[in-house]
Amino acid sequence: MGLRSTRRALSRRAERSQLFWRGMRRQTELRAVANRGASIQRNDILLFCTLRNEKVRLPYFLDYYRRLGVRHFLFVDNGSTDGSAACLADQPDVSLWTTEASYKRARYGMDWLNGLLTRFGAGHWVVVVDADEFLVYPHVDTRPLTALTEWLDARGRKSFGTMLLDMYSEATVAQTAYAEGDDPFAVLTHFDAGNYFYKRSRLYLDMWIQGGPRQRVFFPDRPSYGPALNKVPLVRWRRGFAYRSSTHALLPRGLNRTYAPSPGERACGLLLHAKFLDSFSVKAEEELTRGQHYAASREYTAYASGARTALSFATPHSTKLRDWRQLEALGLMSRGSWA
Amino acid sequence: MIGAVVLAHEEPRRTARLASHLARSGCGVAVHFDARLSAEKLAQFDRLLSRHPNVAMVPRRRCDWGTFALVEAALDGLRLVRQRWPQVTHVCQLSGACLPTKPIATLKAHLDRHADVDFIEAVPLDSDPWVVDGLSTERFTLYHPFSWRRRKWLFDRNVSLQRALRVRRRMPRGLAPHLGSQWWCLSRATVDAILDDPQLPAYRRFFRHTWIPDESFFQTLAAKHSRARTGAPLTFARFDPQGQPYVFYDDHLDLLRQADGFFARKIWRGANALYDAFLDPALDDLPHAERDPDAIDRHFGAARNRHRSGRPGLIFHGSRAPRLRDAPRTARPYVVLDGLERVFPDLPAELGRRADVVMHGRVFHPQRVEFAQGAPAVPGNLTASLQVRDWAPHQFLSNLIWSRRDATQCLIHDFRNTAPISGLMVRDPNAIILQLSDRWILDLADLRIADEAVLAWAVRMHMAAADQTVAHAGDTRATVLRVSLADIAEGGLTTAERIAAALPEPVRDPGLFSSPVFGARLLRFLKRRAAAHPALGQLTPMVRRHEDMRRVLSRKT
Repeated sequence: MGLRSTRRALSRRAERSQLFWRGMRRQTELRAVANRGASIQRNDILLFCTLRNEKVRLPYFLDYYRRLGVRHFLFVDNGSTDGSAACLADQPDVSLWTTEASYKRARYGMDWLNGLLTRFGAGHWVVVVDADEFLVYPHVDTRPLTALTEWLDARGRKSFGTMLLDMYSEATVAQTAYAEGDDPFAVLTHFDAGNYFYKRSRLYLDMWIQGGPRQRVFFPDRPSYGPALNKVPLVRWRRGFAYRSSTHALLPRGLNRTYAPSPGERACGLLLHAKFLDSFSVKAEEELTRGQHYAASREYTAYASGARTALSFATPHSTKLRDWRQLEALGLMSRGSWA
Repeated sequence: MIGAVVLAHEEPRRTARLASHLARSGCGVAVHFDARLSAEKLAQFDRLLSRHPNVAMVPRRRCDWGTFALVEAALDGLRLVRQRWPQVTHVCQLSGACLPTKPIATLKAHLDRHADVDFIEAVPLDSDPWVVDGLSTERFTLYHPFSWRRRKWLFDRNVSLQRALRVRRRMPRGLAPHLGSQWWCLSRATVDAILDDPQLPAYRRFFRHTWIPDESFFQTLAAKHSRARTGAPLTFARFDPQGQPYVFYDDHLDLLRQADGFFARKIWRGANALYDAFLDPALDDLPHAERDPDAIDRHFGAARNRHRSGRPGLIFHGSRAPRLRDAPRTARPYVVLDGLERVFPDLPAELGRRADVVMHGRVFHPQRVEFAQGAPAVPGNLTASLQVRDWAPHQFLSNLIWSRRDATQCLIHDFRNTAPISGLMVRDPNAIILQLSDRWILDLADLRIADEAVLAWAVRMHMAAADQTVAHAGDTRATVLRVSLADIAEGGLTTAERIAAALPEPVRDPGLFSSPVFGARLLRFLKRRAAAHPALGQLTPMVRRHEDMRRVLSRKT
């Protein structure tokens, strides 16, 4: 190990410890509404999520992850006004914290979650997602999440990599009606199958992915503005781990190495992104005035400057979602050696 | 009667189901539980299986992975089986994660037919590369007191120290080391011979400090005592490239019903459908699946290939992305035309009409992206955006080829273009580059230069530029075929066949390259400027002859 790499390793170490303590400090901003953490059993899979005004999506979200085998949910509600908190507080397998503090200053909610992960996540497999992200992994139709985590455990893997796959309907976004409790992918049926670009960061070893419909529609002339699509949402948590930027990358950086040294394929999955429902326009207007999102809400600005009501992502070259086998055949995910 | 020794570590409920199934089918079952299993979990087992006369418990030992305790537990189990059920004819070693895949009656009939045969894989250490990963001979010649799983550092230091000290343990006399899977079935005669072997204490002392003795102890002793032995095991198991057993889930039901052997390992603890199907007494009544033993090998062979080499040409987040300086990763051969489309003007249209061929324009044109039929995007929504293309040209190419990996794609590219993509395609083994080597002559003919001196200078410049292209780039891995105007004018069908031979199947057609058109402009230029360079002088009569013939032919028809 050379002098320079030692120095970099030390600075990453310092960054990790800073993130860790920052997360602990920001726990003071959270007020517990329902803390059922005591009911968490050994080996339970836990889900952590920050949200704001997602009441419409919640029933299906909870149902989806319960079916996969998540045993306890830990939510941070950032000042919802639509009754999300009330809906969550009643659930027997949900712990809820609430805060009015700045989402942006809490590093887009990550500080709150890092702290909660330290307090409740250690020793568990944890799922860290947004309320509009739905995990899909190989064999998701026949094998619960515990089958995957046990398989990862047996191979000594501590994390599972995914890509965020933006789903959209054939109609315009404004016309994509969604009612509480429905399967969002009954209307969000299409996706982009082949316009993703991958780059490995040498410092943090994460696979940086850009592309997809948002880059295509919002940033046709500035591809580097495209949103990052790489996510590591499933981790065997240990005290001292920390998410670095959203759920794109973690420290220590070995957790980001979810891919095979080329050639070869590692088992990996997708997060289906149910963002572009009719509620998107409302959200976009609100977020524009709040200015609490990453990179000065670039995406929402691009949205606002474009044809708002006519916004649509579908083209004749879009692909209709069938099942995970189709996604694997298209090269968007892989079973690796998990046959 | 069949005896079974079941070595279980966790999930007493699953083990209880297995044991009760075996016991009810008339087997004598000795169950050993790892001592690390908590008492309350063990109580579950007792509750589920309340003292069946065909089930006995082996005194519990703590069994770490790959330690001699596993062998001791199995020896205890064998003794117990022999003592409790003296009439047993065969004893199988199973794990708590095994399931019978066929009715026990079928197994019994099979064993009756092979009364004295031992079903144990026992491969001589020096003959066969049975070991996938890790130590081989040194399993036996060194002392291994440390657990490899839990004290990896100590284990490794210990091995290097003994290598330095040249430690060489000797096998006890009369034993030749054999290795194999620990899921075996031994005949009564062999079990008796092993248990009553007067040397057994010495063997135990020796094997206590070998590495992973559960893969070698019974194998080595069976090789010594066995009278008839077959390596085809009764337990079906497959191992993944990391040497871990593949785990079977509910969706493997159809595959397992076709599997060889009578048991399968390793069954996931949550595979309810497998437990229900295979422990159902009505298993015999199920119509037997169409046997296709290859289906299983295909299934797990594909997994192995995915893990080792991946799908060619795929870039995604499951494997490390190639860097710009690496060769691009493309899914299948594609054709790059450089200049030939000038001499064969109908070629692009002709190719575009063929089935399973996609003819793009100049995808890497400096000012635009020309997809087939001028489409704004290809399947998968890779768009004809200049900014996106130049932002990551190598992955743009990979994505393009991947998007239509069901077809042969062709594109036009000018390799004098110095953009990085030119060098990338030259390094791509899947690129088939057809290049007109003296394209500069056509370019000069277009320029209509009047001045002799300027023309001579232009000829020199163009020839120098042509030298810089493909053929002279270092690290060429593409198939590059360079033909000159003279080759085309004089070679006729021979040249056409030479070009076609370099192409993949749907476009391998000499007819595509048999009727070149040089055009009146080139002929005029050559006639007037033949003196500017010897190459032009040589070419002039050839082109003149060719154009005359073409005129005559076209008049006739």
